[in-house]
Amino acid sequence: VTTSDNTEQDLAAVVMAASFRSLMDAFAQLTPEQEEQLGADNEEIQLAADAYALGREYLERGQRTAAERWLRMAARHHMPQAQQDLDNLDFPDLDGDGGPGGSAAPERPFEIVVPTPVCDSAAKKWSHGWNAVTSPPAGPLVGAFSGVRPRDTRHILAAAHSQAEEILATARREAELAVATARSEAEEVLATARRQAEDMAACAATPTASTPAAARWDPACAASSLAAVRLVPWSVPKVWPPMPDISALRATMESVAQVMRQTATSTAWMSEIALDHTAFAKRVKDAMHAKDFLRVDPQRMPLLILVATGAWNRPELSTDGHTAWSFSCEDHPVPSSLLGLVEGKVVAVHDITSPGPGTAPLALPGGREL
Amino acid sequence: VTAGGDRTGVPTPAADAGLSGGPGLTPGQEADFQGFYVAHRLGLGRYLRFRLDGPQAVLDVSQNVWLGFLKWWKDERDHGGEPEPMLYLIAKRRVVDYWRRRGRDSRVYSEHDDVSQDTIRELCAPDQVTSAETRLDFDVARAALTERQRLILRMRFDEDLSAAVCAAQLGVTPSGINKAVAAAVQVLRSSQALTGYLAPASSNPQEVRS
Repeated sequence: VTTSDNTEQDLAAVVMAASFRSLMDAFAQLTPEQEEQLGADNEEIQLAADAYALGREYLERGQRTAAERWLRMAARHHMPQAQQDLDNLDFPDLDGDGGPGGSAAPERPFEIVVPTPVCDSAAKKWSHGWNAVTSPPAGPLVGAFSGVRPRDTRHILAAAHSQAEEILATARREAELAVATARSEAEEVLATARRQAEDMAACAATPTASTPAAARWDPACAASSLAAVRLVPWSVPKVWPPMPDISALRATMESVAQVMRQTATSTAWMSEIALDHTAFAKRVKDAMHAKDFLRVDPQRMPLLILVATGAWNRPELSTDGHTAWSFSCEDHPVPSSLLGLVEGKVVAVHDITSPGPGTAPLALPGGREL
Repeated sequence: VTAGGDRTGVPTPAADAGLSGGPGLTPGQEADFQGFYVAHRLGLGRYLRFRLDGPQAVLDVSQNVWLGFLKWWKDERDHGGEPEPMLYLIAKRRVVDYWRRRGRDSRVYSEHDDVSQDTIRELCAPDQVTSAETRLDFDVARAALTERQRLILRMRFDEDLSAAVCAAQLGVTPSGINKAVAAAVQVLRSSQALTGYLAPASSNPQEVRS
């Protein structure tokens, strides 16, 4: 049912090519020694089949010793499945079916520290693959090695080699997948950071820069933001060559960890900016909603200015129709205040450092030019 | 096949064209054998093609299988032995010899190939048109089978071997093969992946295929 018509036709052609007459002629031309050898082969084949059947029967009855004896005899007579059954008897955990006494390998902690905020899923995949490579053999396998007979060494080595190749292949597949995921996530974070920085630069270049105070700070603000962001490379370097062995895998993982740390640094920087935005917006809104807040018309007072310790000299977000700016009071001899810009003059709107309700707005009658 | 024959010294027709002849079959044995040969040569070719790596290998090994089987036919046929299982036991041995001469493990080719999707479909969902989606479901269902169950289904249905031949190859009785097939089909039918595909259950799973 699995073959195509063409394959069936090819097979038929091959089979038919061996004609019955040529077969009979070949048989007739056998020497007595060759014919005797054929008879001996047939006896050996039958013996191996019988021994294998007996071994399987004892195996199903749970008589391991007898089963092993007959299976060995079958294996000596080149019955491949007998050898496979013997292997399964020796290493019941190797066939993946969880044989008697089999248990999962103990987990080991992943020792390389990978920044979790950026590539948590990738880190888990990495750790899984790394554990698969570096973990010691499973407990049952270690047990299987104890008391082993020298004649079984070849089988043990073959089984161990096969298992190691399988584990390494699995780890390699998972590692490549994790690298691809990490690269994708890192590039996404970088693109977001760069986009935000460009937005800030564009904001700094808006007409609000016509204000004398703002104009003084715009270039520095934009330059510092862009410089910081441009320190981060455009794309994550592709440092992952094919991994021929464990050392290459280790080096690759360290490279990835380094890239992840770098990405985490940029993310932390952006987070700091975002938190500062949020805190500033909250402070402005709190001040504007205070009961003694000087209500102003956004048309007349389009710009609010926050002067506070630790504030950044930069443009900020729009709040209730106002464009808000913040300045550090370390650069200006004005108390921590929320100021408004009215017809080119700065007026005090609210003292945001007032300790409680009822505190009057900062009294700067007639406005005060900075 | 080497110029002098395989490991057992069995010659190819070309290699031994000049050898003196040995005793052949009686006319009656030869007539019986010819009927058996015609009936089974294609099946043996299919068996070998699943396990060897090309048409020439199939041709060479099948010739050696038939020579060994001719010897068995001559010596043992009259003693009541079952010919078909013996033919495939000899074939299995020749396949092992073939790969061993090439430093390979015959199990890589003979035992690890999986039961086909078509067989699973015929056993459980014969009315279904095979699509990518159904194939995914069949794969999930197939994964629920043990390695030995997959091997038995593959030999029994993909290779179209009789229960007696499968039994001789796997060291069990023919009824053991039938039970294993029934158990495997039950596993497939119990798979969540095949819900909605299943054909009406048959008391004998092998009837599904007939």
